[in-house]
Amino acid sequence: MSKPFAWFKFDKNGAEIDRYLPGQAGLSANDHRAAGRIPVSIPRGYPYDELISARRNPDGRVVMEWPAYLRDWVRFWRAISGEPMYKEAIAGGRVSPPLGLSISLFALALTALKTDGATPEEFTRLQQLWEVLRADILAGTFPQSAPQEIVDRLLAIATSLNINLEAG
Amino acid sequence: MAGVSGEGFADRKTTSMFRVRGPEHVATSVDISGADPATNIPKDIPYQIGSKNESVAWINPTMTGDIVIHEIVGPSGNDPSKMLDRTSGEYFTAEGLGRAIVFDFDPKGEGRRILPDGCFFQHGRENRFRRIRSFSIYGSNGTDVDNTTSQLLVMVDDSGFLSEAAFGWSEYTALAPPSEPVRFIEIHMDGPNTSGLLQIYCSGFLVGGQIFPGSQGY
Repeated sequence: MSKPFAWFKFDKNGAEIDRYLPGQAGLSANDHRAAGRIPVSIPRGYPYDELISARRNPDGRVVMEWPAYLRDWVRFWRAISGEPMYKEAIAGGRVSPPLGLSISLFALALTALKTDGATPEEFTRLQQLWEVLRADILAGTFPQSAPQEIVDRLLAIATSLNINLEAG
Repeated sequence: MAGVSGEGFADRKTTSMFRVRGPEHVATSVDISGADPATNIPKDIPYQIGSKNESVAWINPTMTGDIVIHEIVGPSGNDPSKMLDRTSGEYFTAEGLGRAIVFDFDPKGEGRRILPDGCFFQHGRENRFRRIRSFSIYGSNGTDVDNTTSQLLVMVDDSGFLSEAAFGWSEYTALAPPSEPVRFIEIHMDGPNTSGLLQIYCSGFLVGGQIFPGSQGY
């Protein structure tokens, strides 16, 4: 799988003026440059036709906005897997069948998201299972952390990766 | 060229690259888009910059001086020749925003140029930390590495740009062709790597496209 690029044009404030996605024919690289567009690589795993918007920050970096289901799921999975509070919840699940089940289902949904490309349906499923998992954590007791602390910590990890677990 | 020996570049380190293979004095187009350098570096590529753990026959780049790497902006990290060292292979720049690696394809003034259309980048460590994630690649021409006119070939902002394997490779990354063949390819860091450090770790870089050999062949 290769990483194509798209051509973007930004105004002086960094707002996107126009874009040419990969495969959009008709203009040469010189034409794009003459029009003030710059080539920006499309990140791996992000279908370029799902791009919502792009903007150029004052530091020159181009930041793209993608639908909520397109996130770095591998990184999220790794982050919570190494989180002591999450491990504490897993340990709690060994003595609480409801919590154990909700953790397993949440992990399965996350595995689906981080494997072979995410889909909106998989993300919706993860959000639904998060609601169940959150309720089960809040109903539990843990040796080191308060239930709310665990929930807040997992939400903070998600937020740091621009992931919205709340179904809203 | 003044920059080859470091003269006038007190804050830079340079090293020679290897002579490329292929028919002499004939422009060559090389398509590397289907390659998988993690398992097999294509044997017909003219320029293979860095080659850790690969078994492709090659000529020691430090002996020919046909391509030169520069590290620009401030004091250097470790020796850029590490990038070519098939044993250790680890090369990194010193810390600092705007740090850049520049490949000079024509340090001897023989007219060698490249019209790049894609590349692969190889991480410079035996673990997943400190992978490059936010950078820009430029093609440029000029009298020396200090005086260049550049064209942006691609901007990248992607924490998953490199695989997490030891000395992992990127996927094929398409480059917007410059308007004319270029002497230099520059990799400029735009933001911190995946460990939050302003360093470029690199042990390999493959370039595809059209190669113009110049007076002395490839």
